[in-house]
Amino acid sequence: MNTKEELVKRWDIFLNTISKRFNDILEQAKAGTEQLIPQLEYDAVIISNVWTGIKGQLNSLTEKVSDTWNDKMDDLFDDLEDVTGEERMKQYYKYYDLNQEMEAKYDEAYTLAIAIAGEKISENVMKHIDLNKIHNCKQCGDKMDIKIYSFMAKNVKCTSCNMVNSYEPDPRILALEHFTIVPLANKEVYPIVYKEGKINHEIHKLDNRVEEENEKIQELRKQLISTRKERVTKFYDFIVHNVPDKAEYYNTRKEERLKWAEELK
Amino acid sequence: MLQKVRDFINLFTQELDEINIVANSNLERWHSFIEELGINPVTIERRNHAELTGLPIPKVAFPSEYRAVLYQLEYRTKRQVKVLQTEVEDDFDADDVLDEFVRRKLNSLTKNELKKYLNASKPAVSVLDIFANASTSLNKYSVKETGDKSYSIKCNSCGASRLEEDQYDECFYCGTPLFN
Repeated sequence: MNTKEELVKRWDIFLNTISKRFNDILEQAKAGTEQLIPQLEYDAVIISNVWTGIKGQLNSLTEKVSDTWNDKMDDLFDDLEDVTGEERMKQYYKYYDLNQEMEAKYDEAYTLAIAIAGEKISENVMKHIDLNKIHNCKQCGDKMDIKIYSFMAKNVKCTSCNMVNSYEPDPRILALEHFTIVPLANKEVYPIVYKEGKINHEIHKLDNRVEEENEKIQELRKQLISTRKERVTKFYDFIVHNVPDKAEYYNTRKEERLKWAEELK
Repeated sequence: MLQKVRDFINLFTQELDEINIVANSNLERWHSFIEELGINPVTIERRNHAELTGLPIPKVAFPSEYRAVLYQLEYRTKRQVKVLQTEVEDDFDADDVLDEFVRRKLNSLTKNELKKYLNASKPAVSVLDIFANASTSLNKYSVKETGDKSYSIKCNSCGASRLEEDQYDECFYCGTPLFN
């Protein structure tokens, strides 16, 4: 028959093993990604695919921990008379905290990997783009005022003959919005995303049926709303700054997301 | 009463463990086990056909056979629990333990155990495998078309140019629609 100390030790050893395994997987993924980045041309789909696979590995580890708790450890702790309900929950929260920690580490590594890939793609694109390229009016041949680094096709009126010319940016520049700018925006706001995750995690550990804890939940919810609004604002401001052609579109999205942040239940 | 409930749960756990031991032993033992329960083993043709689909096939218990055994256990245990519940309804602790067993283990027994069994049958995937698998998508979606372009849209009928940036209807000169 196990003692309380033996069970706690067994559980700790098991969680440590999982944590080590996860860290190994993450380090291998980072090393492999580092080797892939120089091979990228104009898209980062392979990086997304790899990290989706890594997420699958993380999910397998999480399931393993969950199954072990549910099928074995919970009952073993329950069988011991000297283990209180509170102590049992404390052991459960070790798994819950580990899970949150692994998710946060994965998110950080993935966000960084995609952002680095985006920077590489941008570097590749800029090597082949002539920002000083001149476009002439198709009617009179006069030079037109066109920004080569732009993200939307536009109609441009010639200042000399008034004829409307249509301009389409290089598709590689258009692709930068998705493969570079959004990932860099995500990297910019990651510290806030991490903070959001921690607050959410703390909220879920509290019991709203206990008055003292319910008060703490309300306080944390206020923090969560303000953190979310900070994240949404910073994210969209970054994108608007880097994709000024679509400022109106992204500002509308920002307002919608800010409303969503307020309506948090 | 609490001890009776605990003994019942222990017996159930032992039975489940026994099923898993046999399901991972050998075909002969497994087939003999399921035939005693009135479950027919799948045919060799069906096994071979499943292997051709590329799905992970466990060496011993075929997934549908395993599921059938679990379902029998779940069904039988639920009937036993119904009887036990009437016996323990006045004992709060025993009722609580039984209720938790039903909620956490019994209600999704077949689904959860089958999922675990199938996951265990899948070949282990390493990080190297993930990178190898993803390698076919390297630069697959890189934009092939390069270069920006400027052009003008003229009326197909009279050759007049567009004179307004938001002119999408008719030619100002001859009235022909600019875009078909």
